[in-house]
Amino acid sequence: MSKSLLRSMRRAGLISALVMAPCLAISAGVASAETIKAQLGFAPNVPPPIKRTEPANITVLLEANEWVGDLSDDNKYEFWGFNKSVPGPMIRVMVGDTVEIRMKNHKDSKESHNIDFHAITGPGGGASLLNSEPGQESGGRFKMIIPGIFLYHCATASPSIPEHVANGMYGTIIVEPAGGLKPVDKEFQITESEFYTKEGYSKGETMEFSYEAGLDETPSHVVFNGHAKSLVKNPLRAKAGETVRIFVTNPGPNFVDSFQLLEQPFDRVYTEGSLTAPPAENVKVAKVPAGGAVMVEFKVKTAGTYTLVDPVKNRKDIGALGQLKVD
Amino acid sequence: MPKSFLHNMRHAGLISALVMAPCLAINAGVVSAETIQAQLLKAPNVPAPITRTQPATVVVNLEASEWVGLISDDNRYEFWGINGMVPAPMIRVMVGDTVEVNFKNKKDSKESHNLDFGKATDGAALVTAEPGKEAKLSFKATKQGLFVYQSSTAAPYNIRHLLSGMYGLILVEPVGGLKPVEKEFYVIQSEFYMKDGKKNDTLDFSIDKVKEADASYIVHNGHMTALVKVPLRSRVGETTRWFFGNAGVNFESSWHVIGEMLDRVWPAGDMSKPPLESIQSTLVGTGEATIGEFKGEMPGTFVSVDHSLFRTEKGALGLLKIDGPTNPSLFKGL
Repeated sequence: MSKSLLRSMRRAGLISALVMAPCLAISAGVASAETIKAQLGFAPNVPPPIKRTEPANITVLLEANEWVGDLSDDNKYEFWGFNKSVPGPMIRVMVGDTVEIRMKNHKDSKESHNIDFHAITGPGGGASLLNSEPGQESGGRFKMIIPGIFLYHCATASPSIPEHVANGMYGTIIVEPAGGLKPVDKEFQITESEFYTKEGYSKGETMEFSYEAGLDETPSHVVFNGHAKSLVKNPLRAKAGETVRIFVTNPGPNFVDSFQLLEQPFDRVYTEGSLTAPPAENVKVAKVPAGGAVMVEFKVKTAGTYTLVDPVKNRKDIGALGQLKVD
Repeated sequence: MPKSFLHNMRHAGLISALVMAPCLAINAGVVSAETIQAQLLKAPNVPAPITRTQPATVVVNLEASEWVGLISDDNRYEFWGINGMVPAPMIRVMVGDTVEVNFKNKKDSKESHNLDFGKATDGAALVTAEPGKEAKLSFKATKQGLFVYQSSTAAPYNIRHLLSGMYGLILVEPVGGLKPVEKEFYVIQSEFYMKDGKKNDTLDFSIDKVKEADASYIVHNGHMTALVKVPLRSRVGETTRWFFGNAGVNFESSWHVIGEMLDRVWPAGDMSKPPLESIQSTLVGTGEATIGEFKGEMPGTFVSVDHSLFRTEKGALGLLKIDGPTNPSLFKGL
């Protein structure tokens, strides 16, 4: 298949639906992997678990955008993000899959953007291959060789790498182990991140990024899923007796997170996002490194409102608070 | 043995091979442990792996001194360090070894200096020397793992010692040593707190900034661009093992290698326990150290960072250049 044909098909958005297997032949008696368009999950929702047992080719389209949105009920912020969402969409694949990522930068962007996938083995986590100027597109094909819960984030050096992260350019990719994760009743994703803004805003104003506050590690907001107290306004929901799994991602850009459920310990915490090592059990605080992720699981036995929080210093007061309502 | 001779041998990297045992004799029919001179190298270099299976006496010669040096290309700082190095040289012994520390404080030092090896043994292991004086410490390395040795927190104490470069790592290997790997590196993340100044100034220590956790520099191996100017090097297919310490005093490090995964991590360097596997970023607490390993799968430049990303702007990063053939089935542009 010619490169130009591929390119025009890609432009037309058709490639995701294209199963390339037939033309690659079965002459040696080996079926080629099928090609699947990734189902993207927007927080707090996650893509469905993987049912396949054979590796596949997965296509993912991400678009970098810059837009003004709500950071809290009081203030707006000029976000930079993926697919107009903070966090960016969750991607779910399996170890052994080959992931074809196309990275578009919206034509209205002022900055160039790229993506460093912590799940990708190779220079920059793919950042140099996935760098796009405004209005341009780039792409790469990567084999997922290690399972885990991984951060992806923009790592463009201009104006500075941490600024791209501080403005919202991150998301999560799950690489399930062969055979998949054990089924549970409910799955959610929570990304805890900090925002650094200049002081002196009154209600309704659009806040501006502060590089100095970033260096000083003094955020004005620490939020779950891109908005202060978003999970208080729209709590997660489960039923008594259900096992809940939460993928907790920490893009920072600075803080190590201490994620807690106030009412009960987590039954299992997959420390530092490792899905191959046995989990820690009966854990009160799930610490998440900056640039890391964990998976926590717990069974909710009784109905009520449960509190999700990072209680360190004043983080809960500036946004790192959420609820799980159990019926 | 004269000191200058020892010095020369150390520089030639030969000292590790030197076994001083014979003169200690076999008098009572008991074989005495051999005495070995520790190989003391400047980071990122790591002393040679231990191949012996019997405990030995390891002699470690450390000298505290104070000097003005570059913390970045723009500024100088008055370092207080060991053997003229920040971080101090890594010490490599085996569990059961007796460690004999000969600790000197250079005569033109202004301060009394000390070092604390307590994490590697049972009970206190502190050695102190006034300027121009010498002191000895002997302790048994009873605890397996990777530990920070450092200027002590015993009173009376000035935290400036710890924030001026008085720290290094001591590795206490299990009997029989660690599994061989192709490359080993030694990296310490440390914080420096200074009063503001202009380019080319020698900046003064600031206790106020320490209290506010407002670090001026957070660096890997004693200079803002130490591991950028002189990157670490390995080849595709080689496994690199990193002895990564965090001298602190304020920030936990989220250690990450951009473009690679830590295949195995032993928190606190305790290799008697199974490692964490397939780790993107691992927490290294203040005053703690960790062992991480990974096999390089792709050529290119890989950046070791504290993923608390604003700290990379203050120097918390280093480069690893991996040479070798590319692997398009793993990583390919479209």
